[in-house]
Amino acid sequence: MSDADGDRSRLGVGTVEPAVRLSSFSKTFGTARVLADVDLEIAPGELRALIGHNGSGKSTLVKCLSGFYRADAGSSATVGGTVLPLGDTNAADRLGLRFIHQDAGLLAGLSVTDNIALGTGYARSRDGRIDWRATRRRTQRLLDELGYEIDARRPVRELSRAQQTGVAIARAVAPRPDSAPSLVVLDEPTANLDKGEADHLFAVLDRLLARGVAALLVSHHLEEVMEHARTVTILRDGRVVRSAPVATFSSTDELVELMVGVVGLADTAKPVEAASAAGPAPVLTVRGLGTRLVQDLDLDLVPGEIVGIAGISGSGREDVAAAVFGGRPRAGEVTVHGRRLAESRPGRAVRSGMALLPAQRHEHALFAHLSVAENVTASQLPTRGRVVMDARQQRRVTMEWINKLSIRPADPTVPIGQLSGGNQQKALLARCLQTSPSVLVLDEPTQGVDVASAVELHDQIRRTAHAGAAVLVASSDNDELVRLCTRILVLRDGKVAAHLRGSQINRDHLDVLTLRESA
Amino acid sequence: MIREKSLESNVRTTAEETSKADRPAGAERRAPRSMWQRAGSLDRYVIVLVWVAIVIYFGIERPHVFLTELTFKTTLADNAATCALAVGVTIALAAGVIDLSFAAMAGLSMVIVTKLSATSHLNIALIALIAVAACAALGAVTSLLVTWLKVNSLVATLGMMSVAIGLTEKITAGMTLTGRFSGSFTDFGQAYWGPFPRPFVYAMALAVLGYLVLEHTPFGRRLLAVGDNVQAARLIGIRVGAHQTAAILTVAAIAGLVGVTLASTVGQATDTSGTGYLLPVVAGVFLGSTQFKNRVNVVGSVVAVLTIGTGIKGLQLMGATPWVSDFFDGAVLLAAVAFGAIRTRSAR
Repeated sequence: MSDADGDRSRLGVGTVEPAVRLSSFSKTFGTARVLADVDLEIAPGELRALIGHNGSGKSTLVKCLSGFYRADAGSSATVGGTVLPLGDTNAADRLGLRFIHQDAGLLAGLSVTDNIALGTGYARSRDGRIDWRATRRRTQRLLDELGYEIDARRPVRELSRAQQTGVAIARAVAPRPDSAPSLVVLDEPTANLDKGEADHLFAVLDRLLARGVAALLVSHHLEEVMEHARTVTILRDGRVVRSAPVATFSSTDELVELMVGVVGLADTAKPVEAASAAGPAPVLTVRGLGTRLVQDLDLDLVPGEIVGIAGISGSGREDVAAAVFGGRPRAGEVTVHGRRLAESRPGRAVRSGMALLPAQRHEHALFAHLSVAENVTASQLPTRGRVVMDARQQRRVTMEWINKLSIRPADPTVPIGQLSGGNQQKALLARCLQTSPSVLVLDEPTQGVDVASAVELHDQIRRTAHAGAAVLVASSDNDELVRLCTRILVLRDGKVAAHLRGSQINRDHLDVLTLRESA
Repeated sequence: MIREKSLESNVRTTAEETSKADRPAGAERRAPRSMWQRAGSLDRYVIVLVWVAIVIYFGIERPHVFLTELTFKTTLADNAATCALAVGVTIALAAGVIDLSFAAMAGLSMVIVTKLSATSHLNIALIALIAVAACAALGAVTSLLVTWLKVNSLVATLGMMSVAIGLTEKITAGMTLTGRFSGSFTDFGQAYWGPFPRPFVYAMALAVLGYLVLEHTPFGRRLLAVGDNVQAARLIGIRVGAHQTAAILTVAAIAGLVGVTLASTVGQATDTSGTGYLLPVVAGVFLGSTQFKNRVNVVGSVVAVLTIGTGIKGLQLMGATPWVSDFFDGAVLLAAVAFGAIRTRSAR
């Protein structure tokens, strides 16, 4: 460890030390080399995007950087010229590496002030008690500086997703007595945010960059990368495929090709044609649906169509899928095949032919410790006779789905928690389809999923509709809705603001319609 | 040793079968992870080695006392109740319910049977039914608290444990009760089938049944799903409350039956007869959950309980004083939890 050398070179005049420099950074699990000789340099004030499809090594790189994993011997990393000890989370923190995870990692029951002060320390009065007024004032000033209008006294639970991300950022960059932030790593920070909220987030980031902090943005949203990042590093199979300024790429397609390693894998398939003019009877009817956010929503879905629900967060879009399915309390009437469904009775919804793919995979869908086979067949376990389970049939059924959706690793016995997000989502879609639902309800079906997996998920959803299921998709990703849906309902303030069909459906139009109110 | 090998090779052949039969030609080779798994899976069967090691050690140290038919029989007899209770607790834990009340309930059942046999002229079968029904009634209250009011199962069963102990103390009034049993009921808990004590045979039958239910019926798999993620289970239409209720009532009923059997085996009952089973069973189930599968499982629980029982028996024959068994149970529980934690960490 040449700490002294490191300090000297940081003090050196004229040379601009990179905020972070990784060289020959590798990580091996058993015999699997998930990160191979990665070299990476990020300058102070630079926003670097890190992209690559699931399993490319992005998360591993981030976890090695934070010290959660210990990078292989031979890897070296310096932060502002100082050598970063490998596999030491405290050292990473002391050197100013700050991490903002997708789920923000906040303590939901505690106030914003507590959440931030637990990281930075509380102000103390002379007798050693917490000086609440000073602590709160300090927190409030920090939030104001970042441009967030959040009351520091409120419990984090009551904040919107965008505000929670704001608190996580504030906590990461808050001044501390022992260390200043040098690099902020953001893992999918905009996954749950709409366009306006995401833009605000990048405005906040810009202020940080202007202070000389570097940022590493892990993202699946390539347009966001093109728009906001200065440089981009593309990982594939644990190796750096390309590191270059964003300006050298003409379109997101170029990035996709580098990520996937195949030319022409863009998701361009046409949506399913609208149902025939004769108009078959609707299989799903919703009348006067109401929730905390939604008011008086009517819906009719006929077999074979894919209906989208668009809207910014807070518009009611996030409630629709769960409320229709019955996983969330609701007002109004939902009928499937003419049978009225009781409220908050998911079991009845399932038995009447509905299946839900929930938005929050980990909280509401995954049996993380059970195998892929258990997860895929959970809603309909194969039996021999009435009571005995048919394990062979269970494996066979799962293998079919694994092949159909190319779930990797192709092993039904692995605990699903060990799969990447995209593969988990594919297995969960398989679970829904395993029951041959006549109504398929999808909530954010490709959230936090890599491009290649999203393509496969979309293909399967289209095929399901072709086979005669009615599909309802709620999504914050307008691109996804445009590619997938036969018609789209745009929600604004809990009401249907627009209804697009056929040729009216295009990205720009949809963007404008979802954002109009707030613009 | 032999058993461990056969399990290993079993795992390998099924994996190969699936990979041959179901993989399309030309698909990329199996992830190298499986090699790592093969080398690393030894610790999943380590308890079998430990068990063998314990037998060898005490066999060498005390050959004329330890390696005898009498020791074999008493070890099995001593651990029959622990094994049976462990099956119940495993099923509850699979459904995400932590049950602390089972041992107190077994004690209550034991006291009810002993007392009624001495003071009433009821048929012993009826008495047994009353005892089991009493436990089931307490279990029903627990399950209402847990599934309807969503009380944390640890707290609910802790309270119920104290209630059961209180009822037990009321019945015994601080005395040692002696039962008045017929010959056939005494045989029920004391006789042997071949070299095996009957209660141990009941326990093994229960273990087989528990294994089949948990691993080979959809009901068992749904219990595991509820235990893994309640929200996800609800959203795919599993009736979470019904499954948790079933699990809690199963433990209560098993505890009641164990109490009946213990009454016959021991012939006497005090107000502390049942509570001593709490720790050995919990220790066994947690140790077992680190073995064979990476979660609670019936085989692991039973093997762990027997391993701990063998160890304690050996220590007793070496002349250890009674404090050793409590100490040993506690140490095993802590070691098991630490072992599980170390494995999760090293998997990173």
